[in-house]
Amino acid sequence: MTFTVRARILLLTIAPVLLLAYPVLVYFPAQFAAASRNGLEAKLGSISRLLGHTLGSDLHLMASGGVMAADLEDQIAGLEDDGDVLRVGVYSAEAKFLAGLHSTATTAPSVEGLVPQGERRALFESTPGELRIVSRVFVTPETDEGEPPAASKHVGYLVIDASLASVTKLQSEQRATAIGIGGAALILGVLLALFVGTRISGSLTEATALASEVGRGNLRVALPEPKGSDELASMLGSLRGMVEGLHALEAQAQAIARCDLSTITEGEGDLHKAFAQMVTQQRELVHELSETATELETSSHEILATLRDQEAGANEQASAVEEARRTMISLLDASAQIADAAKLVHTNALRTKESSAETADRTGQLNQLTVRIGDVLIGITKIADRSDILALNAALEGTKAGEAGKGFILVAEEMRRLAENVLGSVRDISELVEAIRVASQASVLATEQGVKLSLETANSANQIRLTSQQQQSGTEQATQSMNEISEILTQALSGARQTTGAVEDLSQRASRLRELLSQYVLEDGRP
Amino acid sequence: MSEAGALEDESSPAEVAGSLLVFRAGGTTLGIETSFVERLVADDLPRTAVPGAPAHILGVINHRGAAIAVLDLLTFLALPPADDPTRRLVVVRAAGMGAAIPVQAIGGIERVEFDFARLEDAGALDHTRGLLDLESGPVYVLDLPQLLQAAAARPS
Repeated sequence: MTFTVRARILLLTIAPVLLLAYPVLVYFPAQFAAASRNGLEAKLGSISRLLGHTLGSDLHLMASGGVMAADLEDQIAGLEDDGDVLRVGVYSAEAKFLAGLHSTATTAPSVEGLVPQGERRALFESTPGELRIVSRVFVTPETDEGEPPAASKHVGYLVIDASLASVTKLQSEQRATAIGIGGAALILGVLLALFVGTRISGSLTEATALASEVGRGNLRVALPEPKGSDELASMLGSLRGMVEGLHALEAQAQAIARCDLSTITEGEGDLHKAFAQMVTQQRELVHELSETATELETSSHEILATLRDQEAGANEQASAVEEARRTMISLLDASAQIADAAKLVHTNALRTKESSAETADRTGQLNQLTVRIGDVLIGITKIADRSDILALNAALEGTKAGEAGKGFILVAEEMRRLAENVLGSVRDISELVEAIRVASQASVLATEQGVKLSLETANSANQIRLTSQQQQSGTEQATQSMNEISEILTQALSGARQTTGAVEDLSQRASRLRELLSQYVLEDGRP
Repeated sequence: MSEAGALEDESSPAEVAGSLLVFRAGGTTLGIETSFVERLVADDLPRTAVPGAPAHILGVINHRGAAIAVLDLLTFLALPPADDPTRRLVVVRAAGMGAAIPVQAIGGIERVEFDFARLEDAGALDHTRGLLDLESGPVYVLDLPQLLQAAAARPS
């Protein structure tokens, strides 16, 4: 909870009045009431003692019949005019009502509160607004001279009821008086507090408004000239000094805004110190930032160059992997084609083996035929040789026959020429047959070799087919791996490009930061 | 040539027409007048070696019931040998002697007109009448009677 200055002055003014209200309104009336009651009690005690002396003899005599109740009433009739006494009652020692004064009460008092043992009287508030005093009444019998005095004898009780109305009335009157005086003082104080509070609060409100404007950053407020030398004038002077200091700090802040850190405003106080410390730290910060920006720019350039090399390398790797992947696919197709071709070769090799075996059989038969041809040729050769000899002899004989044998010689020569032709043909045939035989043997060997090669070819083709299938499987796995590698490289390339872009951006930002920091002017004039 | 000249003096005119059996013995082509040739047979007849015979007598064969000596011209005339075997036997008879000459091949019967006196000199080859140029090549014409006499006279 906050209170305005005016409220505080008002509260401080009212508070003493309120503090005085209690003793004025409560304490002093209560003291007056207590004093009044004490007086009443003393009065009742005195009455009780006086009447006790008077009534003691009567009560003593009343036992012997010398005094009547009416006599007792006469004794107490004097209290009838007392405004405080309400009722009076006289009782015997046995608490029997004997007489009473009823002029102010309708009922006789009863001996309700007996006097404690050993006490002569007791005073107490029997009902609200009433006091009761109960006194034991004694009588001292008269003795003759020379005799010791007789002991006092309890002969009865005297009961007096008194009203506290006078006391209450006095207290009320005292309270009313105090209320009147206190209220007037309170009103006067409030008015005085309002007047003083308004005077002080007005100046404070004006100073507060100016301080608020300054607090909101408005340093162009018109500050009034301080008048006098009181606290308000001193406060305005301090406010003016504060505004001037803030003007100086504003000028330095504007210089800082223009990146000029070369000067530090002179001044006392935490704010100036904090400002000077801020400028000093800002200089160090700018210096460190400049160095850091330069290093960052250099490092980013180096990283950028490295990243571009890496990107180029990644591109080459990606190209190589792509080439390898295409090669794998080509290998895969080639493996499939090789497997198919090997299967076909295997089938053809088996067929070739069968046909080669058949060819070997046929060649063997051909070889046998050439042997038979050779035998025939030998016979022909013998015949031709004999024919040659025969023709020569015939020609010889024709020669010897002279002219007659010329025709014979011609025939013989023809026969010999025929025989020689036969022999030449036989030689040619023999050579052909020999060539056929040699070729047949070579063919047999070649066929056997062919069968062997066919078997080896079939086995090799089967092996090639199996190997090609394994290679195909391996190539498929390798192709899958190359696809995965290609995808990873693509992602890596994308990441490298993103990193390159980020580093380029970082480099540009570092350059921009360095340019911005170069605008700062530090204490030694260097940027 | 003196022997040839003697024959020429005895029976032959200066230029005669005749037939010449041309054959090859070893590597040399030789010729014999057909008048001395009795028969041509295959060189497959069984030969019977003659103990103590000269080296140029390879043995004897049975030719039509008669024993005929087999004369090796290569050995006798010191002719260069040939790679191929002999295939024919030329059965000749002259100066009252017969012989069978194994040859590699028979060239044929050449009808020629020649003058023995004008034959070219056969050089170092003995028992020849001279060298005769034929279309098929040069042929040494053997002086068969002298040859057979010399063969018969040469000791073993």
